[in-house]
Amino acid sequence: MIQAIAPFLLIFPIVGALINGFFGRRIQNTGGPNKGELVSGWIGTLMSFAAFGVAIALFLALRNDYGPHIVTLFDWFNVGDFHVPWEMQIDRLSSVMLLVVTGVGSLIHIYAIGYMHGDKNFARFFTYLNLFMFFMLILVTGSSYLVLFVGWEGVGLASFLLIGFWFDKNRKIDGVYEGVLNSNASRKAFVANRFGDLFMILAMSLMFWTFGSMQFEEVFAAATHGFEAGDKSLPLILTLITLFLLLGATGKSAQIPFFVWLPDAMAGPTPVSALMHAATMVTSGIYLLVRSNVLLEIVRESGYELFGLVTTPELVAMTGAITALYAGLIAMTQFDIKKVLAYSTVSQLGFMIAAVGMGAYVAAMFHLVTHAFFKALLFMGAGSVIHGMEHGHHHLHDHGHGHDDHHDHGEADGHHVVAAAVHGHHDESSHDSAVVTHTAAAHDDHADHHVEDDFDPQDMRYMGNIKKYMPWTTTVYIIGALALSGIVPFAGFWSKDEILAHASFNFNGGDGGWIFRVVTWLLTAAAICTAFYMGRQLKMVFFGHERHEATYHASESNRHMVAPLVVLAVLSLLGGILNFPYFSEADATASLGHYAEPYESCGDGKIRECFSGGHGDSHGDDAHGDADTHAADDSHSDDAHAEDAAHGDDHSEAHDYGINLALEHWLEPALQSFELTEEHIVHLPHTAQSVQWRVAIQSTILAVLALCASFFFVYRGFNSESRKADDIDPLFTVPILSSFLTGMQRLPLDTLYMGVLRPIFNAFSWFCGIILDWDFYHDFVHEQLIRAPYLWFSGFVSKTLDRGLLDGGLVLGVGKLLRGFSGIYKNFQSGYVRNYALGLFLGVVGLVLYFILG
Amino acid sequence: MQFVEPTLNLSVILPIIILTFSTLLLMFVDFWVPDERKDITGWLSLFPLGGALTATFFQWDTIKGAFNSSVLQDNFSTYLSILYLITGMLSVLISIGYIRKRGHGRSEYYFLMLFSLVGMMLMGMANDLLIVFLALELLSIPLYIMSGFDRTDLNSEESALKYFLLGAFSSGFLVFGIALIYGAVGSTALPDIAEGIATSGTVGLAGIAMLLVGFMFKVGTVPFHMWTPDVYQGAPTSVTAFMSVGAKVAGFAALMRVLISSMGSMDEKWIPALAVIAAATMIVGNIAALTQTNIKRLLAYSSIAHAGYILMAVTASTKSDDGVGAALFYMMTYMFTNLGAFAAVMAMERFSGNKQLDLDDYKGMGKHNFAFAIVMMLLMFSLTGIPLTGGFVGKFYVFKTALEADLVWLVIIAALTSVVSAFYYMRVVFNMFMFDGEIDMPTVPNALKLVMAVAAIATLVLGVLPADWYTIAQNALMTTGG
Repeated sequence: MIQAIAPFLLIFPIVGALINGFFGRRIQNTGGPNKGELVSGWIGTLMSFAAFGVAIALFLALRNDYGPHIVTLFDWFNVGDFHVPWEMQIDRLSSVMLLVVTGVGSLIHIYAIGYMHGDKNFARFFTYLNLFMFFMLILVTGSSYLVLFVGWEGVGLASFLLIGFWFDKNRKIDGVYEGVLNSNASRKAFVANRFGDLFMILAMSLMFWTFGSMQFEEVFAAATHGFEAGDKSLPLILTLITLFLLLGATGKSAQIPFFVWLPDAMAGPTPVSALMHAATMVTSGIYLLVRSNVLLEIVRESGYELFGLVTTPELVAMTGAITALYAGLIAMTQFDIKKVLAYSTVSQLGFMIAAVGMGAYVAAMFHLVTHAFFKALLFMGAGSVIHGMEHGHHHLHDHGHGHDDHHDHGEADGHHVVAAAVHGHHDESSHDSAVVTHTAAAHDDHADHHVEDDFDPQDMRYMGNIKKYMPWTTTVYIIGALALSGIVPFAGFWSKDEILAHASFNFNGGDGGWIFRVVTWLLTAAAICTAFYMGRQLKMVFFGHERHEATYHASESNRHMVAPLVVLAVLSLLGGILNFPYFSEADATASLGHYAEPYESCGDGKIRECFSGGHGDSHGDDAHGDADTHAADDSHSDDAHAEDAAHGDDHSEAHDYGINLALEHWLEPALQSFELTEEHIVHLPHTAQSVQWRVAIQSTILAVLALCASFFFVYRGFNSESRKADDIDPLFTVPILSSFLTGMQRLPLDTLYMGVLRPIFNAFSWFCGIILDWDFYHDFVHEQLIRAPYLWFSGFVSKTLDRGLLDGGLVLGVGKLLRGFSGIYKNFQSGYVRNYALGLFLGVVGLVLYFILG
Repeated sequence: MQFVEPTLNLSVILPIIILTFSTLLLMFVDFWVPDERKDITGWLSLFPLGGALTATFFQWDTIKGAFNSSVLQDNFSTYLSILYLITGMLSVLISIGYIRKRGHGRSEYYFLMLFSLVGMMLMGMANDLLIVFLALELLSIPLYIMSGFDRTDLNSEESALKYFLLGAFSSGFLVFGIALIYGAVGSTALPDIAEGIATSGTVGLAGIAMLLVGFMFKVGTVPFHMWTPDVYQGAPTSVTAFMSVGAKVAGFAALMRVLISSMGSMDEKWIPALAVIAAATMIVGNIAALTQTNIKRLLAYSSIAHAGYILMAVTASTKSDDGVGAALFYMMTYMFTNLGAFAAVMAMERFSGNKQLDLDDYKGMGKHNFAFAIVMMLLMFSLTGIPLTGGFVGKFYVFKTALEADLVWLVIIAALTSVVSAFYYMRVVFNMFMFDGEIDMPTVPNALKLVMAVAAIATLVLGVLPADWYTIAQNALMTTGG
């Protein structure tokens, strides 16, 4: 069955993209501008739901079956004995990703119908969304690094298209058109990702060069075999491969050093932020590393240290942990509601990467899933708030100014029609005409208009007391925030706690080494930051008093937007069930038989059989005796319940037996490291089976304290109605604290890149910091330290070396160089042919000398 | 002395005979075509090409020598002939309206193009250095004239003169090289050279170096590339398109034939030289392209860079079984993509005032003409080497073959420079989709649209389902004997 239905995973989204791509505009404008947008939107959404259906079917098929199933679509490359067939690999790891991508993705599709309502490029948006789903599904189902890379590039393209979706926005921000800023943001994402991709290519080349294959199964088998055989060069090669994979992942999953694009990516429409830049696309780096777990574990086992410092898994852990804390600190200082969430995403991805580096692959996937729930929820909640604020502002604007410039105004903001449609202040036809016939003149008029009113619907300083106006959004947002902060019993608590428990378990009881200790501290500090900035955001947005008149007119968003939020809120509440730990070691032991080891849970001492069944053909589980498979089967079926419940399909109560560690049982057969640990080839660090009470209580107390602290300190004294948005946060006026907070805003300056170089670059950086935003100090590094020398170098080569030295020959080199800069290149006279000839002749001399003497 | 009767296997050069004589016939027919309707000659010139193409298809999988084995027919030459003839057809199609609108609707253009194609086909078949030289001149001289075809435009004249002078200069080296090799080995036939070259000493080595110069000039590798940007920019765009594909592929054809079949034993000697040249070509071509603002000049530097990638596969061809196949496959993708890109440039070009050849002229294209912009984007993706386009697959095979030949450092440079190339190709895409601008696009002739469509479809097909096509390229092996 798997063979038959798996291709439909890819067919549905691409069909949706094609329909909307070719006929979308016609469908959207059937019977008048945007009259048919619901049809267009639901086509895209249903295709996504269809893919979700396929994913569920695959999930059910995998319940009693370990996979991996290879589904060959067609032959892609055929070179002698080297074949790259286009294959899908359906196993338990990809099935988890499939459920997240299609499940959360479908909900976001519904939300987008509401959010994009009235946008003149409505159909194009859904084309891109489905295109993204298509590539994301290629990414997670590919059976080789090469196919994965196709998806990897494809989602990058979709991301690029969607970040710059509003490239024609004509609002001016600081004298620059917002559309230009949007397209700059998309370009930045593209370029940053290309750097990451370079390393992916290097990793794949090296892999192919060494193992002669890029198929997951073949590479892992060859690596394991080589390691067992004691291949001396293998540790170095695998270290390089994993290092390149890590760097590839830092690009896509926005980690240090390539994270700079993600905050800018918030220029895209909010559903895009929720879908790609929080829940799915950015997690593909984590998926890549989890998929490569065998390679990482072999490197860990070999103990090969990069530059004699750290092994690559340790480097992975450190990268994740440092990013988690670093982004968490920056998130505390942001005022844009979406940028707080963006930095938060970077921080949470850091948690996952750190978990991968520590060998806690299941914990990483667990956090990936729960994070997809609550971060999608938070983003879409933020979108809902922004919508409300925009509406409030339009309302205010209309009444305040008394003349009807509403259309132009709203058009530039992208979704004025929502406000109007929901509240019926204007008749539809006038809006429609505004949508269709907007002109440059209207834009200019509008742009001028906006200069005098710098209201920003995303700025949290303009919000306050939204709870009074948007009760649904407020409720679900608080659930999401508590889940993210790691408060019992929300989903985020369980997944984050599993990572922290793993870290501390290994440095207290295990042989993890100093890295685990440092990672534990960093992640604990990052968790405190998380609670603080979420508390700060809740207080600034939903509580306190209104700080801007627009807030008084904010109103709840439409049904399309609220419904998915509620579903996600339920998931954020219950997601912890997915991998519920045991409450004590005794429970764990009792439930899992004689073994309390985390991975030896497949059956009673028959692990080998269980695993070999999984890795043989797909019917291999027939080999299990009833007694052996009893535990495994039960846990799997219960696992199914948990997943179903989590996805809102089946709210039946989960079993009280076997529910524990469901995700871990589910993923074990797909993560070969577990099997290799059984064979004592590698040693996967143990994950605690039961709740680590000390860690859990400690992190809960810290999170609650941080939440309370944020509520107590942030905007303290702002509860009087006389205070307005323009007033400075009193927190920033406390003598010592203010320098601390300001310092955090400037933090990037003092850490990382500039830590060593600061004395030298201080003067220079002060200058640039005035011009560029402090928070994005990295932009300086990337623009000035990398791009500028790069451009200078290319200019030097093309103008000086190529035109001057070669074209101009050595004789006229200097004169040519000067003229080359003046750009008069077309004033060539025949004399210069002589110089070409001279260059040619020098080439001849060089070649002849080489051949005769060399 | 014993006189051996030469074997005249005329079937070997049947496509060439068809092309030559039907072109001569066309010249007579042309007398009756009125001056203002010379387009008709253009359409008619598709018939000689079609006839030659049909004859070529029947030659697949047969190996024969002719004229005492100085001309050779094998799958290598047949594959290349097919490439040239397709190039010819697409070039004729893009030229028809273009040449007329430029005010030079004269039919000599088509005759020159067809004769140049004869030279190219002969390049792939030549099994004797003298035939190589003959073919090279036969292909070059019409190109010199065609570069200056736009007589009223000074740039075009300058371009022709530069091309001619430097071309003659480099041909001199080629002849000198042939003479030295003849002096060292006592023959100009490639099989004889293969036997004698290893023991030929300094004279033979100097001969190889000189010979390489002649080919390197034709394909435009560093440091023999300086003519390329000027000539490509000045020549009429249809000629540039034809030249950038046809002449380059022909140069590589002769280079591969000579190096592999007659100098394979010397590969320890020439691999380092070619590898350094390939690296320098990729670096200079890609980096110099970064600062270009004129799209023809940008594509000129881009074609230099692509010559570097092809040269990389040639470098690996004696160490890796797939070197020749990778180079041939790359040429196929390059042919379609580059012709398509130039066709797109021609669709935008105007002949007076602002010629619309700047990158800025493409701003806002995404809104103005979505289909055009999408095709252009696809072609730019392919030139960059982004997956699911032919360019990616071509690069993939080239990198793979170079890895097999242990040229790891060269692959690293190639990977880095192909990342660099994304910057300038993407600038075109960014300009089209991310900026607003006034587009003043001339009406695009249908023939041009057809070529763009063919290029786009071929690029996609080669990118998504390359397996069969690559198998064909792999089977296009060259034979060494007669």
